[in-house]
Amino acid sequence: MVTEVESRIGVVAPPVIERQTLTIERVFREHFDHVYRIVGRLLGPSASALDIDDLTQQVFVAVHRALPAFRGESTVSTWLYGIASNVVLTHLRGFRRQRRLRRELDLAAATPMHARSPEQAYAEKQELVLVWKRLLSIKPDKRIVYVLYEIEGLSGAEIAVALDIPPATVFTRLHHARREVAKALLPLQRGRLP
Amino acid sequence: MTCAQHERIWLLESEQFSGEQARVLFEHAAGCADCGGALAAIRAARSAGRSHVPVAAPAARARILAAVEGGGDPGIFARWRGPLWVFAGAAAAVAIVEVATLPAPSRGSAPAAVAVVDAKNSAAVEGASVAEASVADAKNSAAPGETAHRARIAVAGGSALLGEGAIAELVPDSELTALSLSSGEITVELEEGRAIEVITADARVKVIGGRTVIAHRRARTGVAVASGTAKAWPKGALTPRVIHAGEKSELAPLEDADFPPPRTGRNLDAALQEAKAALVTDAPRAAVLAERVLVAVPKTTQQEAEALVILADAERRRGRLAASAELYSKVAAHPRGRSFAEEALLQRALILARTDQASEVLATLAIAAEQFPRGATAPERAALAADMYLRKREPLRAAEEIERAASLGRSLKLLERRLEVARALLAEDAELHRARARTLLEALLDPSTPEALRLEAEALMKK
Repeated sequence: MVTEVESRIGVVAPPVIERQTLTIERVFREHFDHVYRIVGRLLGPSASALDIDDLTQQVFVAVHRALPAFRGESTVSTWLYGIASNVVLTHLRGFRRQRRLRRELDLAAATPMHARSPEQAYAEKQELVLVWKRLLSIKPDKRIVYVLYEIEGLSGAEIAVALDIPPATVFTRLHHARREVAKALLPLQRGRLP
Repeated sequence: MTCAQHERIWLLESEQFSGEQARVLFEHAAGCADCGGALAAIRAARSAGRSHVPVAAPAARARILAAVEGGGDPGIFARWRGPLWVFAGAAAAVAIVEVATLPAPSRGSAPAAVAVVDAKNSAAVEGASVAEASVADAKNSAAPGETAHRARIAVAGGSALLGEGAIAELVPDSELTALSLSSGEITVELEEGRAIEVITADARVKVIGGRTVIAHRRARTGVAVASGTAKAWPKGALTPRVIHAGEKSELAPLEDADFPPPRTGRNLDAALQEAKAALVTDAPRAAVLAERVLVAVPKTTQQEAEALVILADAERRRGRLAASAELYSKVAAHPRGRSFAEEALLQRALILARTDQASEVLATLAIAAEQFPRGATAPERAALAADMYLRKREPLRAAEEIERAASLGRSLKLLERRLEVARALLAEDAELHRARARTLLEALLDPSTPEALRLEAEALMKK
């Protein structure tokens, strides 16, 4: 609304609203669910709603500050992925936080999850827990690449821009993370052809 | 694992291999137990990861937006009533810890423990960022021959250490962790980037990272910043004093701010410009300036309309949503408010949507549709209307809104609503509404649609 006010005050004929002008309100409206999902996925299923809320707020506060400098070199989505990743990475640096997430994961394994059937729910939950136990054992920078690539579906190029790392580094980290994560499920899959 | 291709499998299904290379690897995996198992594990892990879809509660969304727009600051005027016990709305549990240190015992006697004067329900406060609202530990840090009694309160991102004789309590209704310091001294230590507020009877201090000591004695508040930064508002001040590392400041209440009400036209324009400039960084000040203009300005003028807009925005940024919604309504109805009306109506509708007033939202959107049928915010309004109908469990009316908006342009929100409406139609009666749902989903198959939405649309179309 500030932009519209700015553009109208003192102008004889109010200009057409600049639809492409980014305001924090617009970014929030259009991307909140997306950012919340990214933060929640980067933290994993054992993160509390409080943690996700807190970090999502930190992301948007950071976005608010960085908005004036955003020049559109990437899409807004990619830019937000980068900010969210940095916020979560900073948060995860605390050793106790990682340990707490692992502990909560064990508790989460016992909690029913919404699914089509109880058996399916159980199977999905167990696989999710196995995957995340493995993810929590690898370094956060590799984990973040894994989540962005495998779960969020970003391309290697988008991740490189978002995290400001070379594309080759993206695939090195992805290679490592996939190998580590797959180990958790490999005993279940060995002998099965895809 | 002895298969020579095994290491390459880990980057199959990525941009590292395409075309012929990928085809060869896939064929190999189909016939190799180890590589096939690895590929299956990659896919299973991906599928498991995608099954976790965190979704925010509506209350969380509204709360976070208010915090972000306010810069984490709900506003000075919301706080000048002393320690706040009032909860706006919910009967949610309140987390309050009162800690008082006992007077130092005489030399030689056993040091008294820190007493928790009153620990109330310690359940987390909805919307508060307090991680642990309890006394973490009580330490007696006395050197031999001296007595000192302190209590440490754990807060999100750090801790607050109360000095001897200090009395403090957590303020429960703030977006940002806040402590009300009645007397004595408090030392706040926070991680970089974390913030906490300390409120005294005559000042409000926002500590941002690092280590800061705040003391309140004899109607004066002193602030000493060892590291990090602090912003301090003496009572009556609209703008903060910034105190950097290594600096100290003593704060005394100001006399009522000397902003003479603008009277001349030139003053009114200058006041409006100043209010507009303050909107993003200091919403309370913007509100005060806009209110002064409204008092002085002739009615039904352009300046009055502009002041109403600024005031509406300021109240929204401060989290005063009901007042903001009312002001947006006035803007839309103002005889000189035409240029702001479309956006004002949308803002009003968005505020009402946060408080689940679906019928009121739809009524407001109907007014906007009548006045601005092809306005710039039409796609967003259509998406919001569809959302409201979905909340009312009327997917057919939601579909009508989306279909009417088809020629108004693309917006991400509208694309997302298409997906939600299609899903709702199929859930209601797949046989009856399949064709309509497919029509809604076809628009999402455009290559410019975000991949996640496109994939979901494709999956839904197969049902």
